[in-house]
Amino acid sequence: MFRSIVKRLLTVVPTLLLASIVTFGLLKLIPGDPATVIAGDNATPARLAEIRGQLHLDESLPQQYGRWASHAIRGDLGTSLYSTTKIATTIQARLPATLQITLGALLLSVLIGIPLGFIAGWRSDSAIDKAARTISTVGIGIPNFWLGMLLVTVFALKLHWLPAVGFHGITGGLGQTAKYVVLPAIALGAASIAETTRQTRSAVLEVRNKDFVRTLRAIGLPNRTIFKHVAKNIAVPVFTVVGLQASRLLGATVIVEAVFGINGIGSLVVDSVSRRDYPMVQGVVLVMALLILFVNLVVDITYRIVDPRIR
Amino acid sequence: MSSAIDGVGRSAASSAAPKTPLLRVEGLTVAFRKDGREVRPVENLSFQIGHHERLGMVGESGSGKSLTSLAMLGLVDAPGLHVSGALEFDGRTYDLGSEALRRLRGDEISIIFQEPMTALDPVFTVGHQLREAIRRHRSVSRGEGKRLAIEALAGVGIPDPGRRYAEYPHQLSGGMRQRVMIAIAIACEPKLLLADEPTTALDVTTQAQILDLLRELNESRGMAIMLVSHDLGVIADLCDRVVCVYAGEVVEDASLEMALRAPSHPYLEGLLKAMPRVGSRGTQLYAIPGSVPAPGAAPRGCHFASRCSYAEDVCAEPQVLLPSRTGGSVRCVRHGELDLVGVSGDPHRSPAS
Repeated sequence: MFRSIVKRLLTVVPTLLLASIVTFGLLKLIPGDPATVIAGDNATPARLAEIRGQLHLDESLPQQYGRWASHAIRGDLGTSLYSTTKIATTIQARLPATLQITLGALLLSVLIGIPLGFIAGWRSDSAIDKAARTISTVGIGIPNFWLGMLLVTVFALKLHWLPAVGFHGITGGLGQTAKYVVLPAIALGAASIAETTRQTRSAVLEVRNKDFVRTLRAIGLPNRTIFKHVAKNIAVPVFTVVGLQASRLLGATVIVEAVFGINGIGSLVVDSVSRRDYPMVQGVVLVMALLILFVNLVVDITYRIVDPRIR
Repeated sequence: MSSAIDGVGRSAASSAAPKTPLLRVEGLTVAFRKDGREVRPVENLSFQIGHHERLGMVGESGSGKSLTSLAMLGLVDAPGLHVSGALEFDGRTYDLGSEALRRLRGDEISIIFQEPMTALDPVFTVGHQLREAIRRHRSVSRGEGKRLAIEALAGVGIPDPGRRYAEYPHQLSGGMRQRVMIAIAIACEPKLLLADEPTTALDVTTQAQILDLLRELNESRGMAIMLVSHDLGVIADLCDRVVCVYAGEVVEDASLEMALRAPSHPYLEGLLKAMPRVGSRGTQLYAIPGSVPAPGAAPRGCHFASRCSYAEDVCAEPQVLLPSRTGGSVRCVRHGELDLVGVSGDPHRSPAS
C-alpha cells in the first residue's frame, strides 16, 4: 500500500507540469495585448516596446514559460499588471475566505449528505427516503445565488441571527468565523449536499443487495456490524463524489462571494480577467489547479487505504 | 471404493428415521402478486431433515429450491414476496414469515451459497470476517478470536492459515473462498448447514474437495447438511436421502439408493436419464422435453404432466403426495403402474463395484 501511495504521489509531477503549461499557454492564446492595456491606446511604439521588454513579452514562449515557472516554484507568481502588489500576497489575502466557505459547504455535504443518503438507501421507499429524494431534487435545482439572497433576507435582514455580508478571518475566533461562514456555506453547498445524498443513497442501495450482505445476515450478525460492512464498501464511490464536489465548489464560489460581499478568489478572478491582468489570472488558476490536484490526491490515497483491490 | 457407495450403505442401514427430526418444514409457501393474481413459486412444500442427516434437494433451475433454503432462514426479502408456513427446529416451532427465524441464523442453522466470489465482503480481510462470526457466538477477546479464526481456517483445510487470515477474498482462489465461507458458516457450530449449490461455481477437482470437506464436517461434528443442487451427481456423492422438487412442490422423497436405482416419479427418472455418464460417449444426451413452467404457469393438475411421457387423463387432476413403493413418498397418481428406470451403481463416478 505504501508503495502504491508513493507511486501515486509521483504522478503529481507530470500533472502539475501539464497544468502549468496549459495555464501559461491558454492566456497567451487570448487576443489582446497587455502592453497596450497598460500604456493606453495612444502610446508610441517605442513605449509599447519598452513595456514589452519590462514584462519579457518579447522573449520566446518557452523562455517566458521557463521564467514564469521557475519563479512560481519559489512562490513568486510575479506582480500584478494592474497594481504593483505581489500576486502571491494578493492570493494569500483572498484565499482564506474562499477556502472557508468551500470547506464549510463540503463539511455540510459530508455531515448531512452521507448520513441522509445512507438512511435513504438502507430504507429505500420509506418516508425518510422519499423526503430525502424530494429535498435533494430541490437542492440540485435551486440556483445558489437565489438561495443566498433568500438566506440573507430571512436570517440576516428579518431575523437578525447572522450577518448579511462580509467575512471574518479564523484568527478572530472560531465562533465569529462560523457566523460569517454559515449562510454562504449553505448557499454554496446546497447542491453538493443534495448530490452527496443521492450518490450515497444509490451506493448503499447497490451494496445492500450484494451477496455478502446476505451472508452477514445469514450468519446472524447484528445490523450494527452489517452497517460497518456497507459503510466501508460505499466509501470509494462516496469519496469520489465528495472529491468532485470539492473541486466543483472551489469553482462555484464566485457567485456566492458576490452575493455575500466576500472578497475571495472568485471575485479576484473575475476582476483580473476583465482587467486583462494576465499574471494574476495565471497565478490564481495555478493555485486552483494545485488545490484540485491536492483534493484528487487525497481522494486517490483514500481509495487505496479503503479498498484493498485498488492497492 | 467410492464414497457415494458408502452413503448408500449407511442410509440403508439407518433407514429407520429418528422419531423426531431435527427440522421439519410444513407448508412452506412463497407468494407474490403479479397482474393482480397471486403466484406461488414455492407452494405448500413440506419435508424434514433428521439429526446428522445429509439431505439432497434436487431440481432444475427455477424449481424453487434456492428460494426454499433462503426462506428457511428468513432471508427472502425481495419486495412483494410473501412467505408463509411453519418450521419446527429442535422441538420449537417458528412462523416462516416472521423475524423470529433470526434467532436460528448462524447459531442453529447456517448457509453457504453458490458464489464464493461475491459471498464474502471484498474490503475486509478473511480473518476479520471469520472473527466477527466467531465473536458473535462466543465472547472472546480479539486475540483469542484471532487464534480461533486461524484454527477454524485450518479446520476447513486451508494451508498456511496464519497468512491467509490477513488476506482479502480477492487474493484467494474460488475453492479457498468457499472453504472460508464454510468456516464462517460453521463458526457458531450450527446443527444444520444449508448448502445452496456450493460447488456449482467451482471446477470439478475443487468440487470434490469441498464435498469431502462437507462430509467430514458432517461426520466429525454431527452437523446435518441440506445440499441444494441441480446436479444429481453432486447429491449422489454426498447425500443419504433425496428430496426432488419440481415447480415449487416436492415430487419425490426417497433414500439416495432408491432415488437412483428405482425412481418413483417420472421427473426424477428424467433427471437421472439426463445425467451424462461414462460409456455414454457418442450417444445423444437425453434431455427432458420443455422447461420448468414459470411460477403461476404450471398446469392445474400434475405440474409435470405437460413434459411427462407417461401422462394420461388422470394427471390433469391435482396431485397429492402418496407413499411410494420404495418407502418414501411420491406425487404421482400413476406411480404404482409405472416401472421407471434408474441407474445402476454410482452414477457420479465409476459403475458400481
